Amino acid sequence: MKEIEIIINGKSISVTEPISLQQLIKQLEINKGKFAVDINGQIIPKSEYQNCDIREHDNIEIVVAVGGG
Amino acid sequence: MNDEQLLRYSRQMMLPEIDAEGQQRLTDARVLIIGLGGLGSPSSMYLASAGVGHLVLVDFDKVDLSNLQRQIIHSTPDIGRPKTESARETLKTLNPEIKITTIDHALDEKELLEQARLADVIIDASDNFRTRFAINKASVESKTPLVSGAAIRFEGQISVFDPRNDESPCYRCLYNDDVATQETCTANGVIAPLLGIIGSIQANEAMKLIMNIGETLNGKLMLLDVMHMEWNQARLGKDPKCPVCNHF
Repeated sequence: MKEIEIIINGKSISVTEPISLQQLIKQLEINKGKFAVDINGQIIPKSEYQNCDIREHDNIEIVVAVGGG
Repeated sequence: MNDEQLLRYSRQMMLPEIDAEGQQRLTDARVLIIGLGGLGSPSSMYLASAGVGHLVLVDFDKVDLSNLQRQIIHSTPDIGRPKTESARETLKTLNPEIKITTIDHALDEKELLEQARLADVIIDASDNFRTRFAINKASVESKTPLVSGAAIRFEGQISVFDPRNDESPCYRCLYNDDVATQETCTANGVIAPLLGIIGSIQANEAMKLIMNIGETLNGKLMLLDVMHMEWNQARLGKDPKCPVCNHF
């Protein structure tokens, strides 16, 4: 168990390792309807959230879906 | 191509990447544009003026006063008219050379698939997620490239999904269709020139797909924040377990 620093939408926070993307989403109560998660410039497929481990200094962007036109 | 056509398209035909061959491809192309609002206005106007031979315009709505701040294909005297009719008139004035087909009702699944099959490129300029997922499915099933654009408030998103390429993600790889979200310009507001930027990029991507030149936004999601004037790009791969693009 180790505290790691990550960046979410430009803000630095610390979380306890090991933590998967799925656990992180649950822990942060990200509940914005449709969204995608970009880690270090790569959108993570939804089916891989469970197996995607968050690492120290990961730069995470929660991209909220835009539907207007 | 006659002299008048040569002159009309001369400033793009002088680009070696386009030339007569590219112009011919544009002339022979058919583009399905869904939605004639804030995004469909600039994208259809640029595709018409650039000489895309056949535009199929789909919208069931009528022009409303509250549309005119951003939907620049329609004008004040058009209030109350079907958007397809008003759009056809503007596009025909811009370029009488092209063919325009209008559909003034919402397409059901079968009609949408049929139109997708007939098109070389689909432009998603719709304003709701239900339509976006339906268009994506038709794109995947018909293997017709989809240029997806969306905007709300001060934010825009654009990507190209190209099911002709087996490695290409689809819109459903990006977003889930099981949660209800209401993110429309009508409900949330939008700054007008943002739609011009996103719609113009959609037209630009569609032209490149038609002419098969350059590199598109396939496999990339482009994000624009016009409040802080920041562009961001993320790589977007196929979800190996996507319920839509793994079926076809």
